[in-house]
Amino acid sequence: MATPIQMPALSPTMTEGKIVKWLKKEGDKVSSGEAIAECETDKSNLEIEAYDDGYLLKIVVPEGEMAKVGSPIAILGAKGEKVDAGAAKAAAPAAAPKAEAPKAAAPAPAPAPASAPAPAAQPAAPAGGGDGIPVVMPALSPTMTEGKLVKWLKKEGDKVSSGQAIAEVETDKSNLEVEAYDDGVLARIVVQEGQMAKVGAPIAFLAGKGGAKAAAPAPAAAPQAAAPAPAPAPSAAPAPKAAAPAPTPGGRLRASPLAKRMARERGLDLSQVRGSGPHGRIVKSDIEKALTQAPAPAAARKAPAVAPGVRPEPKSVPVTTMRKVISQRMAEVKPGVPHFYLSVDVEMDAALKIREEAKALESKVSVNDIIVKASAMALRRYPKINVSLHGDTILHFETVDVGIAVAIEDGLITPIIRDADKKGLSAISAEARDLAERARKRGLKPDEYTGGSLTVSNLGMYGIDSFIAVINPPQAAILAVGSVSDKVVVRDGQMVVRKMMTVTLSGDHRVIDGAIGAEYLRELKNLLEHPMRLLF
Amino acid sequence: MASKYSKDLLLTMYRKMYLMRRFEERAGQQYGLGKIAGFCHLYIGQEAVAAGVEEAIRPDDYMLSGYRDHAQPLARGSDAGMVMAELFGRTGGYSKGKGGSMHIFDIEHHFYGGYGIVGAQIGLAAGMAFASRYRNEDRITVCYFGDAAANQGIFHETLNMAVKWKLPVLYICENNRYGMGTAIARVAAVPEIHKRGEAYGMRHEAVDGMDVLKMYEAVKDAAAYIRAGNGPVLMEANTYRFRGHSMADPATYRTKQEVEDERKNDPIPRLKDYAIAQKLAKAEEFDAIEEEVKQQVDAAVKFADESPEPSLDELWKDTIVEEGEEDVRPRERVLGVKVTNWPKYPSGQELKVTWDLEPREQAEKADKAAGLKR
Amino acid sequence: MAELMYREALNQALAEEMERDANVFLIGEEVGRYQGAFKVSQGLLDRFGSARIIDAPISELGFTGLGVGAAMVGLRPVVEMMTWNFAILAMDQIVNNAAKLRHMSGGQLRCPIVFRGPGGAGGRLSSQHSQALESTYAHFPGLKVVAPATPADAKGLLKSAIRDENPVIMIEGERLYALKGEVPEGEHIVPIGKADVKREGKDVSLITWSRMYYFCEEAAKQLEAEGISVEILDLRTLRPLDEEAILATVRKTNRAVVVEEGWPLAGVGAQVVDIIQSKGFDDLDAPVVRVTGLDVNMSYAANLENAIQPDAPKIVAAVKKVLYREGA
Repeated sequence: MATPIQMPALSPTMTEGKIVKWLKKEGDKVSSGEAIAECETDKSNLEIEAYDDGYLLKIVVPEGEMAKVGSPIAILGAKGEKVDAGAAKAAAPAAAPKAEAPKAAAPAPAPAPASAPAPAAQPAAPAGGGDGIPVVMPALSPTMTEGKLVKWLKKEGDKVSSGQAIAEVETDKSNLEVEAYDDGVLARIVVQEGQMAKVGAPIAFLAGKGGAKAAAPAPAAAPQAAAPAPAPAPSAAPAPKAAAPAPTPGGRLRASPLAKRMARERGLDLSQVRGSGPHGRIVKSDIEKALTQAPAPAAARKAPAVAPGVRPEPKSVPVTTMRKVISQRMAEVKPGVPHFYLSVDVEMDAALKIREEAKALESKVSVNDIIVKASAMALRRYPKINVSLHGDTILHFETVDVGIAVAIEDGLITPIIRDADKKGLSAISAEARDLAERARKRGLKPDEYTGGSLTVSNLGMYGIDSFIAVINPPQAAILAVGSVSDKVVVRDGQMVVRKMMTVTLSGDHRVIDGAIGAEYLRELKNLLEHPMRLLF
Repeated sequence: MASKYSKDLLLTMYRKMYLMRRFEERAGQQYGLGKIAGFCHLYIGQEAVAAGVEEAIRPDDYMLSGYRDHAQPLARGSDAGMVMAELFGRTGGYSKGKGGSMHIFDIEHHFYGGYGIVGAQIGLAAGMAFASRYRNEDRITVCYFGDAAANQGIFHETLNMAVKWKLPVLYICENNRYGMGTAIARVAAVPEIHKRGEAYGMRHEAVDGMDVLKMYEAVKDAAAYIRAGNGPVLMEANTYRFRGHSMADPATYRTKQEVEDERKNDPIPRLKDYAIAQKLAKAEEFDAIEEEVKQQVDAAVKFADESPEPSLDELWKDTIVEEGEEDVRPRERVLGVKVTNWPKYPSGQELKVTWDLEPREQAEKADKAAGLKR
Repeated sequence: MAELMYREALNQALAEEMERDANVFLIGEEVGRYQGAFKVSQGLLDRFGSARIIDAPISELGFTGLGVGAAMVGLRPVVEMMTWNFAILAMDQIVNNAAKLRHMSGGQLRCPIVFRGPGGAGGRLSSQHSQALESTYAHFPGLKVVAPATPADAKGLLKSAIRDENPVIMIEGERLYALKGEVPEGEHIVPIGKADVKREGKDVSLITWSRMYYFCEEAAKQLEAEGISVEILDLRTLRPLDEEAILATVRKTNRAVVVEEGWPLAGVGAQVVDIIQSKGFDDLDAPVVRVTGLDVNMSYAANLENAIQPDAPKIVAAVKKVLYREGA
């Protein structure tokens, strides 16, 4: 039976070997364990042995040639046996073991010193070839597909360094800065102010330190740019100052892990607590003290300036990115998601008392804050609503994060209050105010307005009695809240006046059914009508 | 003069030696194919030692070795497929693939392991022999180690105690002349290892380890001496490995001529020639044995290759003995065979320790003579 | 309850277990005729004979290897190290054999053996004889490590160690042998792997073991006088660590100081701190502070020796640090 002799791995690192010398010739008798050839590996010269008795029928790899480990170098068989041409090919290298357990390499003998130093690696060509280094339109929000270049903070010829803001971009949600990720000179601006660019398309090119000339623009989806100006030599003059970044919040808030946990659980705003530990670290005892006192009032907010009334004339305004996204998504959702609606009237007298109590403590709590808290606690109790459909799977959220719909110029956005079920009213209130304010300034970070369990949309302040809201995907429900107003209701057979409010739940019928929604609303109504329960 | 050996004995020895040779050649081949990794030390050339010893002792005598440890368990009757599977790092191995080439354990056949630290088994062997004495058993412990291990401190520390306490242990130094790449004569003040027994008042002798019959005779005699309660023996089996120290060793520290010369002493043809010359067996009988062993080893490789890798759950087993956990019996676990020969020890309530290392009367007499009060 | 010295409690445990199980024997330097370098084996040679109380030559590696070999075939050796400093010579047998036998054999073998002896500073013995080496041994899977502080725990843990089916390292306090304490009469067993709250408190937890426990008590009394309530958790077992007990005490007091005699780098205390920060982070009101021996070699000079070791004032200072009362 003719069998191939394979090139063995003679060292742990060997991948191929060179046949230096055949010690046997074709037709010779060989016995198991006998050396038949000498082989040069990456480490040393070693002998290859036969593992069977027989005759060397054919030498496949002649002296001086290389063979990969596992490939046949000769054929062994019985005396005078014919060599099957296929036999040589049949010898496949050994299969790897079944799992990918890492092989422990046996420490190899030290390699001989290389005869010559390895040549130095060629310097890598600059990325982007002759165009220099492209700066591309980044994805600044999860839903962004394109962005509008609002403003260039640098001009052609300016020096930029990695991490520096070079342009402002308007996304579907907010205005954000684009940073350079390399040092160099802004060689060429491709997308001018006011123009749109798809995510990933180059908006400018940087020249590396060498100041490589920017070549013609890559044929991208980028809009036509003006003929490129030759890149000026880097000037010694200091680059103009970039727009000052929004001031970051002052010194880091220091609190022990335990204090943070307690604040989270009791809904306490840590920024309102004075720390007694080293460097003002807030500790358990500070939290305990704060919980027995009223939180300090939040700084008064400036009312937004009212635009002076002008006689309106029809004006064509290009659709903003945000508007585009809203219209796109609403058009997707409304036919795409089968909605069902449930309404319930809630008596709000007790809840309004809570607001009065808070006022007495100089804490501003709005009706909406109470609704957010109640809707969150109801979600915690009826987690079947706390879901989201993703293709073939349903995500069941472990946390309760409530979105609040905030109307802003030219659209709306839903910042999220995380763990709303665990936070106290004053914390929710402070957070909601801060989020709404920053939303209006377009200062929200993407993670502040994505995700969430359900959205509360309140048009009560506009005097709307009741309305129906469109679900904010990927959430599965939205709560439409109307105004609180005096209504005549019947209690114990008597007509009485009560503060009433109508709440309407829109549910995604693919993942929620009417009965689940009804139970949820019943719980919500209970919580709002007996707000003491919000404390438990 | 007729040979004093039975045909049966010679053929058994031949079969065992050929099995070791064939198994190790195949192990070398599989290493070359990447199926075996890490360190892999082959026994090729030294087969006469393990085969001669095995036929001269009892199957229930304890045995342990260093890291060149595939062959001795094969000689004891371990399953070749399971030893090969251990080399492959597969679940069908004696240690579930956790030990590998250097740590073969087959407790059913009283083979207590291969150890990767040079000389460490010398101390363990004394403890096993101590246990036999403690329980008044007449079994002996056979401990293999290499020439280089004789330069380790534990060799000297243990020989001293073994003689002082008359421990029933046979120390066999397999002197294959090289500790890895260092010729023993380059690093040993006295390269004849057995002579070191002299310093401890220990019986010691050198044997031609390339001659299975000489090994057999020497061990038979030494085992009887030890079993009779005379204490330990240091035996030096002068042998040679035809291959490098391990698979990664090109063996450039010795000449080709030296290896060629030593191959002339190959113990396997030597035994065959003797048996044929003594008219105890025919060439065809040897051919038949060789054919059977070849098939046995091919089957072992196939078994190893088809055995799966151990499951990741195994990571958390066999480090600490959990409450009430039984010991694993490999052939039961892998082959489903009922293992009846598993060691059993008397419980702490049954056992009566009736001997003394230093009898009290003797100690008291010595004290009295010295004028000491206890 | 009897009042016993730590060494007497150990002696009782040995005698009771040797009585109960003939497979148990003791081997070590000076354990027989000398009656034990620290008198732990006093009287046992006369009681059990020279085959079970074995005077070994000064060959730590050799007699430790012998012990491991005997355990491989069913005996239950107790190997006494005159001190753990000398056991460094025997580490190969402990670490490379005893700790790995079951693994290398794929579950065929077990190694029920106890390695015991004193550790820590004995007093004016300079650097080779004063090491607290428990962290070294606690590093190895396959071993268990215990370090009792009181006579009662010494007795109960040694009995557990002898009955355990695994190699157990028992590090006794060299300075504790003559210390007296209550030991329950009759069969007294302390499970391996269970820490012990030796003092209840609510403001801060001291986590410690062996001799350092006494400094912690001293510090606690002083702090108590200042109105600080201290809890002391005696780990007793260092491998496996009682994570539950560590986390429970931190949940209770929210502040912890970990006290050990040995060096800081990779000390068992470092692992305790890691457990606290990774699994009890939200229960912390302050960073965890360690009190360890100084990161230097032990000196012979009395003042240097004292400065190197933890003591009550150092523990008090650490407690004040985690209570943010520094300078107090």
